[in-house]
Formats: sequence, structure tokens, C-alpha cells
Amino acid sequence: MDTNFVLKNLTDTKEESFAEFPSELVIPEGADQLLLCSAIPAGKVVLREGAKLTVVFVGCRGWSQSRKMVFDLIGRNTDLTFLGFIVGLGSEAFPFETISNHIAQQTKAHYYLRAAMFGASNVDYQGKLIIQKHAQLADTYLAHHTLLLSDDSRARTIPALEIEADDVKAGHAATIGKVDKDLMFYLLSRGISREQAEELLIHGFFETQIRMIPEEKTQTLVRELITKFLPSHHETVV
Amino acid sequence: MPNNTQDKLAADLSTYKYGFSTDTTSVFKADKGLNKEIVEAISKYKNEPQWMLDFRLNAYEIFKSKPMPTWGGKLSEIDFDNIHYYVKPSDRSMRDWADVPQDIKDTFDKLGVPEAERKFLAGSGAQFESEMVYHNLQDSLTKKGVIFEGIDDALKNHPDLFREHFATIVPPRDNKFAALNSAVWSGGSFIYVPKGVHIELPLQAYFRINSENMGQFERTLIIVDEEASVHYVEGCTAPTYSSDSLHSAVVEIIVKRGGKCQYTTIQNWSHNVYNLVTKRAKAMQDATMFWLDCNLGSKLTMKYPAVYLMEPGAKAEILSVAFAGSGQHQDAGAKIIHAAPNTTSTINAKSISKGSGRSTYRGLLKVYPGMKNCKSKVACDALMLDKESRSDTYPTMEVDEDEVSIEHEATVSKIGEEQMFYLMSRGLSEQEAATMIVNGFIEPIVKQLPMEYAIEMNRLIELEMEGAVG
Repeated sequence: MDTNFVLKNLTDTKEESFAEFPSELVIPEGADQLLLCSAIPAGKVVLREGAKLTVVFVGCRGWSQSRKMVFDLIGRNTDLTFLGFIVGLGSEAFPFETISNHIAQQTKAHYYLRAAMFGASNVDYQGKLIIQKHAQLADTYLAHHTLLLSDDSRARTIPALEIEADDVKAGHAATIGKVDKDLMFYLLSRGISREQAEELLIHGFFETQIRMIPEEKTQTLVRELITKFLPSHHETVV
Repeated sequence: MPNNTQDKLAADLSTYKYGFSTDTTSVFKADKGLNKEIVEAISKYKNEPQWMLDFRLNAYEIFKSKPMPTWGGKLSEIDFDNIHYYVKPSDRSMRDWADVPQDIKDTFDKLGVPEAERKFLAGSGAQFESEMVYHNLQDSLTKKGVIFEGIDDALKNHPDLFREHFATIVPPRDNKFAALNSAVWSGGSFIYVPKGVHIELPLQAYFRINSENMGQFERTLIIVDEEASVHYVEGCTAPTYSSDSLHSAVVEIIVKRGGKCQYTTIQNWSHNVYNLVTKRAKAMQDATMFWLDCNLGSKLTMKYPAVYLMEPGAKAEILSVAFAGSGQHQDAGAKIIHAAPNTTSTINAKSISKGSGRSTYRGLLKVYPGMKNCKSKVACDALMLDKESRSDTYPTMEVDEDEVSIEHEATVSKIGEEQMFYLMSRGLSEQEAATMIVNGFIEPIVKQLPMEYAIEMNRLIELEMEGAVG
């Protein structure tokens, strides 16, 4: 990726790139767009009635100051999907916060974040889901899965829910751990080296989430980027 | 008392099931407000050794220097100068039920304590205002060396054991309210279970706040020695008063190698009590600590039972239920610190919000670096009953070790229409159906309670659910 952000229309082929994230990005009525980011921007995204947005964040470079990304779901029938992919290397840090404000009725926001942490990297994620009083029929979900692949890697996760409407679907889930031991054993018993097996399992870990990207081109791009970021390939790239 | 206050009181009392108050004569009552002299007076009145007085004064300084917490519930309405910090209802602790004054006995009769004791309980210490007035422990347990006493007695009778463990789990510096408790604590239970002794029946104490504007600052210390086990039950039912009161307890538990401890609470303070409690346990090698925490009453509860897993093989389980009715805020949760490898923990929290009630789960799960093979599972479920209610979840997870398995999930939902329809088509009223669903929601936790508490719990839910629908 040359620029930091790419905003694509999924209904036609229009796309727009920018290096600086605007202070407020508005997704117009009825639009179906995809926002590709190489880092979490500090900023605000407003979704108007019927707007659909998929945010895809793929990164291996962190930042030091915590960043806050806010999504205001001000129109009815808005649909936000946030897909985050982090490959943490060296001592990179990924401190960030996302907030979704469900303001109108029938709004949906689903967050999925997967992080594979190597070296002394760390991810510190606070995902806040706020459903305001009149935002009935909101559907909100957050999942944060982290693979800690070295002794010094760290993860911190605070999925927070604040709900004032009663007719809602809300939930969150988080897991933190290593690659599955049984799967690892299976691959090792097939004669695959530990390094290769771990890489396969990491790809598998990300793959379930890659398939949630609504556009095939972006799916391929994310797969390529993750392969490039993984430590076994990384040295040759940089 | 002006007439209108009396009327208000009478109206409150008639609507609240446990809202009766007994006229009691206090032998000693400290003046309202908190200053160095009050702290000294409490210590002097209790005939405490010098080190305890120093401890209290030091804690008082810490209390003054710490700011009020800015998170959690609304604490701004607490007026520290309008509280009696010490009230002693009768002149000494008594072991024989017949010696307990009749008016205090009547209060317990209404709660069913003596009956429960006769039938089921191994020993019972009831805290009426600030002191234990009644203590009875089955002879067999005394012979085994079990100590179950009022904490003030334990300070006199077992000074070394007391001093060795007191304030080692929750030091005064821990938080503002732990400091307050450390400065003015009085009453509470002291339990010591010697090596290898298993107490089959639950030990029980009932706490009641009875004097208006009287803070209750009880302090409980439980020491479970190696390979021993105990189940302690604490029930709280306070009579209704027209002005706000404060309850700020500290509970410290040490479970040594291979020991087991279960601590069960049913908190049903009247809806004007601030319940700000620090509860913490330390589990050593292969020890198990189990908190079962039910919060139904109070105006605001801020309580996060904690377990520090200090040595390999230690295990923690925290189950909690919170019910926030109109005007209530239950800010409850759980805290687990994995400070040793090969430790496991489970948290299962369920909350219900009704009317303008707000229930909050606030939790912490921490794994320190190098603590390999730790396993933890945290699950929180919330049920919202109407449009006015609010539910929050703030589970924090900090993991600094890679060889671990940590899982967390949370759900928030309302009562399903299909479930209601099914039950109502079977002839239940809307009210009964909703109550049944709520009782079903908390069933996995209630079934862990001793039988008579499970029944009481279901009844309390029924009471709380009145007028919830329709």
C-alpha cells in the first residue's frame, strides 16, 4: 500500500486514496463502501441512513500514542463491519480505542480483531460499544482474538458495553493464547517443521476473518500483506 | 422526630419486607463525623493494644490523603461527617442464646436466624450493629481447634495469629474505603480452620444495620490452614431508613496449601445503603478459593471480590448475580491475578437490570510474565427487563505471558418473546412467566447456594420482580 487510506465504492469501481485521515469522514446515504487502512487513524466516521461500511485494517507497524476511532451510527439501517489484522513484530505497540455510538434505530456494528504478536510487541485495545436509549434493535458485537507467539509479547483487551436500550443484541468475546497444541502436533506428525507449522496455523487464524471481507481483491491483498509481515519473510522485505 | 419523617418512615417500613426496626439501647455511641479523637476513642473503648491504635491512626491519615474514586457509581452524595462511626449495642459478646437481649433476639427471629441455626448451621455469629452479640460454635468444632469468634475477641484471645495475618491481604493503602475501614473497623468474624480440618456445614453470620446513619465497618479475617476447608455464609438484610447510610467492609481470606474456602454473600441492604466493600483472598499452592456473590439490595454497590493466585496449582472461581431495580446501581465484578504458573480461574457473572436500574460488570484478569499454563474463562451475561434499564460491561484483560489460555465472552439480551408466549400459553400470568425466566437465568448460580439460601434468593427475586411487567 502506497498511501495510508483507501476508500472504495463497492457498487462501482470508484476509489479514493488519502494520506491524512479527515477529521470527519461521512459515509453518505445508501452507500456501500470499504475503507482500507494501514494504521488506525484518530478520527471520526459518520454513517448516514442505510450506509454500509467495512473497515479493513492490516498492520505490522505500531504507534506510541493511543488512538481513538469513533463511529457515529446516526442513520437507520446502518451497517458497520470492522476487520482488524495485526502482525506485531519487534517492540511495536498497538494502543487504540474504537467507539461505536448507536444513535439511530436498527443499527449494526460488528468488530473483529485478530492479532498475532511476536517479539516484545503488544496490543492494547479498548472497544466500546455504546447503545443509546432510542437506538432500539441495535445489533452489536466485538471479538478480539490474540495469539501470543513469544515470551515477551503482551495483550490487553477491554471490550466495554454500555447499553441503555432494551431491545438489542449485544455481545463480545475475547481469547488470548498460543497456537492450538493439538493442531500443532498433527502438523508436526506429518513431518512439517515447527516454523512452517506455526506459520500455517497463523494463516489459518487470520483466514476465517479474511473471508469476511466483502471484496475478493482486498481479500487477496490482505493475505499477501500478512505473508509479507510474518517474521520468516519480513527480514527479506525490509 | 418531626411527624412527616415518621410518616415517611412508617410508609417505607410497611412496603419493605425486611423493613422493621427494633428499639435498641446503645451502650456506647460515638459522635457523628470522623476525626482523630473518634478513632482514638473507638480504640480506647475496645481496650486495644497500642499497635492497633497506631494502625488505625495511620489508616486514618491515608484515608484523608486519598482522593475519592472518580469511576464506578456516584459517590458524591456520601457525607462522611454525618455518620456514626461506632455504635455498641450491648455490653459484651454472649455465647448463650438465652443471654441475648430480647429486643435484639426479636430482630433475628424475624430473619429466621435461630431456627436456621437449630436445624442446619454449625455455628452462628450475628453482627447486630457493630459487635458480635451472639456466638455459638458446635462443641465438636471447638475441640478440633476451629476458632470462630467476633473479630474483636480474636484480637484479645489470639493476638499472635491475629497480628500475623491482619491487613496482610488488604493493606490500608489499598483504596480510600479500605483505609476508612482500617481506621474505624469494628465487628466482623474471625475464623481459623486448623490443618486438615474440614467443616462440613456452612458457618454463618447475619449482618444488620439498625442505627440510622451508622456506618458499618466490619472486618472479616478467615485463615484456612493446610488441607483444611470451610464454607462461610454472610447474609445481609438491613431495615429501611429514610436517610442514606454507608457500609464499607473489608474481608481478607488466606487459603494455605491444599485448602478450600467458599465465601457466600447474599447482600440485600435496603435501597439507601452505599455498599463499598473490599474483598480479597490469597490462594497458595493447590488451594481453591470460591466466591459466590449475590447483590440484590443497596443504593450503590461497588464490590469486586478478588483472588490472588500466589502459588502453582491454585484455583479461583467467582460466581456472581446482581439485580439492579429502580434507582439502584450494582457495580460489581471480579478480579483475578495470576501470580503463579499453572493456575486456573473461572468467572461467571450474571446481571439483571429492571426499571431505572443499572448493572455494571467491571472485572480484571491479569497474568504476569512468566506465569505459564494459566487458564481462565470469564463469562458475563446480562438481562434487561425494560426500556429504562441500563447494562454495562467493562472486562479488562491484561496478559503478559504467551503460554496461556484465556477466554472471555459476554452477552446482553432481553426476555425472549417466544419464552414468554410459551409460558403464558401454559396458563402463567405475565408476571409469573417473567419471574420464572429471571429465576431460570440465574439458576446455574443459585443452585450453588445452600438450600435455605437458594429458597430465600428465589423469594427475593419474586419480590423484586413485582410490578416488573404489565
